[in-house]
Amino acid sequence: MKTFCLTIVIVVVLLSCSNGIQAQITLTKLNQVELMKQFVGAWKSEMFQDTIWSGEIKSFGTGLEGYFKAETKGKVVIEQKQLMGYDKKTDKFIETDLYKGSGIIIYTIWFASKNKATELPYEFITNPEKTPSKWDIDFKSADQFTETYTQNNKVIAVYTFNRDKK
Amino acid sequence: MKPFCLTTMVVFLLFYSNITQAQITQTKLDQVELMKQFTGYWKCDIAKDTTRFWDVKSFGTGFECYLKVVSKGKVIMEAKRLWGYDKNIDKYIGLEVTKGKDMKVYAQWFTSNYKGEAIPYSNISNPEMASFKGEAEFKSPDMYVITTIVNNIPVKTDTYTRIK
Repeated sequence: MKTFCLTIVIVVVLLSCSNGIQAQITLTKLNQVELMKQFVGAWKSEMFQDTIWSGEIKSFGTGLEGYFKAETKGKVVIEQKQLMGYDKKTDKFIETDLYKGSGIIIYTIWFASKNKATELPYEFITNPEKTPSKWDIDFKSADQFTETYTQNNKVIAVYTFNRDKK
Repeated sequence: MKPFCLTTMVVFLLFYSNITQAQITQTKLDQVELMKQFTGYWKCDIAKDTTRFWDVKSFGTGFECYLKVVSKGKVIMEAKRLWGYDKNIDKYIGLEVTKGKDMKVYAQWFTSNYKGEAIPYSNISNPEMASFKGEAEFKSPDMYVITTIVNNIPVKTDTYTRIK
């Protein structure tokens, strides 16, 4: 009788724990498609002295498309088109940045919490800890986010983007 | 005599090496120029009353593309693509986002002046292992044919004609 009772208790406790853990995982799984929508809109950042980076990101299906330009003293010096799509296999977004006058770069980007995302070269999607460079994005509010660029664990630059209400 | 022979051989090898190098340089395709053949507005009849429209615009050395499928006057599918040249692999990389579907990343390149192919980017280091492949052939500046190959078997052929 004792053995039978003990077995039942163990099974019930284990099942209960397992369900609890599963529920926590389900609860904490972030909706990457929804979180990425925080980027939708027009943005502006003063990257360097006299240089303004501005543009707009729009939704397209579960993806995003963007156009940005850098202007120095009113002259366009960089133009960039972006397309981002959700990859359900990795639960991350894949981003392509196409620069006028140069080629294309592929990144992967994902939110690790509701306000914080990480972006790094696509080749490091399976081993992000090995990337030599990354961007850490932090939404300070619905109208402001920062991008911190790190190379070899050293912060190189921090840019602040504000929603451009025009 | 031996040193003379050796010198002659070295000169011959250098000469031969230069010829080979010249041939490689001559046959190397300009992927950026060749990809410009896709620029324009195209249509492809895929079924009765169903047409795929394909708008390809230049952006630097890359292209932004918008694709829609219209059936009986109604848009039933929309996709966007961004293609850009990657000089490290001398190929184009394209991201495709289709409304209501998962995204795809492709690599594509020309193998001759009028023929090109596309495979999933994940197969870039071993293209022969790609289970999916698209082959394009320009029949004229205003018409090209895409053959879709799945597991080495051609499954469909689409003909695109230029609207403008």
